[in-house]
Amino acid sequence: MKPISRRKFLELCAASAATLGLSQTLLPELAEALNGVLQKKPTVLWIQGAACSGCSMSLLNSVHPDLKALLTEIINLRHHPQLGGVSGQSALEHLRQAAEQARGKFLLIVEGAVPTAAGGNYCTVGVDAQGQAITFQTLVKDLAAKASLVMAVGTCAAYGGAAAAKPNLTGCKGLNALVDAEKLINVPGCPPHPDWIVGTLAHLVMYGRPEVDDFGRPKMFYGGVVHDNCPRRQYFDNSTFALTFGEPGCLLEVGCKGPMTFADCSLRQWNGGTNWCIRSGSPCISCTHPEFPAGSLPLYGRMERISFAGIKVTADTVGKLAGTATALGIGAHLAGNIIKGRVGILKKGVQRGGDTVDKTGAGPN
Amino acid sequence: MAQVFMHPLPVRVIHWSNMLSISLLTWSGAYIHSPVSLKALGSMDDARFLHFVFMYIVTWGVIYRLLYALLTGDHKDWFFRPKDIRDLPGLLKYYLFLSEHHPHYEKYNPGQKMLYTVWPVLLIIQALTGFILYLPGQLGWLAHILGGVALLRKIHYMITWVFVCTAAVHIYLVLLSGWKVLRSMVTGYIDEETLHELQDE
Amino acid sequence: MTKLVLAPISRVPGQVQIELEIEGGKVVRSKVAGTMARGLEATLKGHDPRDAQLLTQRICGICPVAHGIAAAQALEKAFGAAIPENARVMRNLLLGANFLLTNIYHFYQIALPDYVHSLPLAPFTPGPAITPTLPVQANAALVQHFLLSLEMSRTVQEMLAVFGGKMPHPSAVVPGGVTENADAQKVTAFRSRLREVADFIKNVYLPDVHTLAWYNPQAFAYGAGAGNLLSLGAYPLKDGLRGQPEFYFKSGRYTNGQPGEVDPDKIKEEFRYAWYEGDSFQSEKPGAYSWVKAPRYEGTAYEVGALARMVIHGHSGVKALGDKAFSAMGRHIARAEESLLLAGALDEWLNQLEPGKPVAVNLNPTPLAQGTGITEAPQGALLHRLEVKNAVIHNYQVIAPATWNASPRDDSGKPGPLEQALVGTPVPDTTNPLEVYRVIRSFDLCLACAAH
Ligand code: SF4
Ligand code: SF4
Repeated sequence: MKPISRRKFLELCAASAATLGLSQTLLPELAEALNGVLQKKPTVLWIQGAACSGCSMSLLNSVHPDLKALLTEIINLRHHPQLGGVSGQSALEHLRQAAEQARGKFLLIVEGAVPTAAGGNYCTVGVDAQGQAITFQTLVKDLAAKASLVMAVGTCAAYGGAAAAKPNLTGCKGLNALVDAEKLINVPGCPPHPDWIVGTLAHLVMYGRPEVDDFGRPKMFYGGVVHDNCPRRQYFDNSTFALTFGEPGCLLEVGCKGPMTFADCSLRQWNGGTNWCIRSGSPCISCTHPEFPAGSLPLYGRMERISFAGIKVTADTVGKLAGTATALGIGAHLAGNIIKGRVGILKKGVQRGGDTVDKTGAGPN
Repeated sequence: MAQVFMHPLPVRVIHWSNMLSISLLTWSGAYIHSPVSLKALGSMDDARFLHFVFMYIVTWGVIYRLLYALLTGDHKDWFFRPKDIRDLPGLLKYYLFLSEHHPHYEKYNPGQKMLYTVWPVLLIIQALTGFILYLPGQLGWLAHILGGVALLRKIHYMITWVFVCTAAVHIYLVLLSGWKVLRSMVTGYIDEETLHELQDE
Repeated sequence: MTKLVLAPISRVPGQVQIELEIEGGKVVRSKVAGTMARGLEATLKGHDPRDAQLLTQRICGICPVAHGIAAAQALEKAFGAAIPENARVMRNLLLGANFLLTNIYHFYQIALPDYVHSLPLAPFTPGPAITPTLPVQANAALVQHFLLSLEMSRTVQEMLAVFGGKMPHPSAVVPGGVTENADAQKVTAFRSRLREVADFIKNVYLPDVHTLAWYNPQAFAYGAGAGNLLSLGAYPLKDGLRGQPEFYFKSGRYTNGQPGEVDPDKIKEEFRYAWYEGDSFQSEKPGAYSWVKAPRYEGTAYEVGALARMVIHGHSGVKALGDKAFSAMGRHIARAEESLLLAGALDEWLNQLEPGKPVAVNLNPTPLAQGTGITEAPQGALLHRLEVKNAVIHNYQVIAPATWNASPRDDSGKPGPLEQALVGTPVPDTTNPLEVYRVIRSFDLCLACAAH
């Protein structure tokens, strides 16, 4: 019954330099495919916590299918706080009903991290009939238990991201710490590319859970390394580095984290193929990484300073200091040896210590 | 003059192989760390090629050296044990010119033992962090558990400095003892007189 | 007296909760609470100062450019860098595009569903219960334009990406300038999209706002607030963030009808009713009710945003509205007029780019420094304060537009701008306080920015 095979779908999803948007080519086939498969669009509920709304804004950038096609043809998005309908208690009531009606069958999409400190009070999403605040944490737990699958959209939702950066006063957590791995799909990115969101949704709708990597990311989008297909790779290999922004060259020296980043930006590009970080001369900051942003700091340098006796110094400084200290030590020792007459021109006769000689072999160094 | 056999062939081969690998790894690694300030190599491509080749060679070097130690039991000569702590003060006094008396030791003095014990441990850490950085896809999960790629890179880099500094001390002490000692690591033999001198100096 | 607690409030980015006391069919008292905080300022401490630019963008995915520019400016002030001319122009282009994006998005996606029946499609339906005031055909046209606006959102974001790298969270604004070079092809890519969007603004957006206003005259009658306005100024026109730059949107105040100057140093954040003690969170603080602090200028609460900018800019269309500009509908008109103005300005500024000329200078960070970045975000005045010690960020403070507009009561107990604007709003039906929602959404609020 499936007009396109999963293999074909994955091929279509795979970014190539020529693709503009996930499905320049996909939409007609996708629509056809969905005709055959979907009597009913699956229910999707989208909730927002400690987020910046960037992920939702990114979703608007989906080209083919665009948001309208997504909503009319692929999913039944019954709740989205920023796109949607009613406010006040009835909004939560509506959400609760939608979850009950599709219990065990709906997909929960979470945008933003989940604050857990102070009883979750750093993010409340409304009040119950008694006027008690409902925390986002409770909402996520509640809905996640009823959902068939949970999709974390954005690095914050998946791993904590910017919201959970140290000192993380609000105790923000990503869903990887709150939801079972089997029930979770992570679509990280700060924000994620719309194709990653829509493509994962389409895969879920048509074929179920896509294959994911160790961090729960769909391999079809996060399987490759930015650096491997980077258009500036030739510069890297030949050691032509940009040292000021706007210069041609590989961006490694201005902080590029492309070599540690799993994402397909170098092929897919952003905003309908208009541009993307590295093409515009800015380093990749590894926004899809589970350790983003801490693991990407300093964003415009290669190695973060080390706390050393209360002050922050670069690793290079520490290394050079150690090296200098060693050199000085050796120098001083050599001078001492010469003065004491152990070596060199003042060398004295040997002063015997022990009186046995071990024939099994000995000797320094 | 009587010759004493000091270093069996496998030990010598591995010693020089490790020396070469670690030197080249440090060199290429320094270039990869800062290709702009260090013009020591042609390109990133060459540096990475060197680094990846010798990363394998040194890994085998460490494995073989440890296997050799296990099989022959020669680690008894160089492995630092708690009892060696007792011998340290005497040596330190000598090195710090507080005493002209060089205590008598077995094959290696406790300072050397410390170095030879720390090196394999550090090499194992370097191999571990290095391979994690080399295979971010396969070993990304491990990096995450161990505190993140950024931290591992820092560790990998700082340990390199430990190698640079300790190797410098090692080389200094060898040269201080004279070229015959250096030669013994090539030929395997040292003459008895030098040996006595060294042991009891 | 009836008490109402409104939460969650959909179509307002971030989390907001509003408490109302209603008497005689009108709001007599209101409390606006931001109910989400992330503590992002604290996460900056101890890091390379230059990281501030991309990290503070994460405060908001809707107006990231403004945060990026404010942070970059703070850094450039702190370390004494003058950005190249190309960078100044390009930043203006990026910020302008962000304004267009947000203004269009705000009107169609956030505000419109309070006036017209939206698409019969989840998640737009069920929508607010409204009695349409527009003729059926006008209503249908607006719904069509609502769909068109989704496309516009995408087009403007593409436009932004041309020089910004990507959107949301563009990468190309950096301390010291920008990273993207100017060339003819990019200028064309930007211009073609800009023309499309300008067309939309001129022929669709602005007329739509006026149509809506025409059929909803009552929306001019509520939501006034105290009428105190503040703008920090944006779009530097001449080179040099050092001297006294001239701004396209001027900085200024408008207090009880009197114009005045702005000295950013006089802006202080008060927190008697916010869950803070200084900079640290106090989630148990008695009497406090919001994660948003209360910024005040010499003790006075100011409304910020497009209305403030247009009044201070002296926009004739907005001026012509007189007191009607201070209303739920007036703010939409100000926003639409501003968009038209900017679309024209962007087209001109585009010509100022000089291909081949540098776009950035290297920053020379010093271990000890201080700087303030000021600009306007689409939602209003934005201020970043940076303190560097020991070569790392020692302190960072952001006062975002919604920090002003959605602020709680200050130390003297005076309510914030939205709290003031809500008072007097008619509530004919307490089960459906539609007018209240219209007032709330006439401010382009972003609670993610407000508490950050
Ligand atoms: S710019 Fe970044 S991703 Fe591209 S080659 Fe250089 S280091 Fe790799
Ligand atoms: S290039 Fe890097 S920073 Fe940019 S979007 Fe892709 S993964 Fe994120």
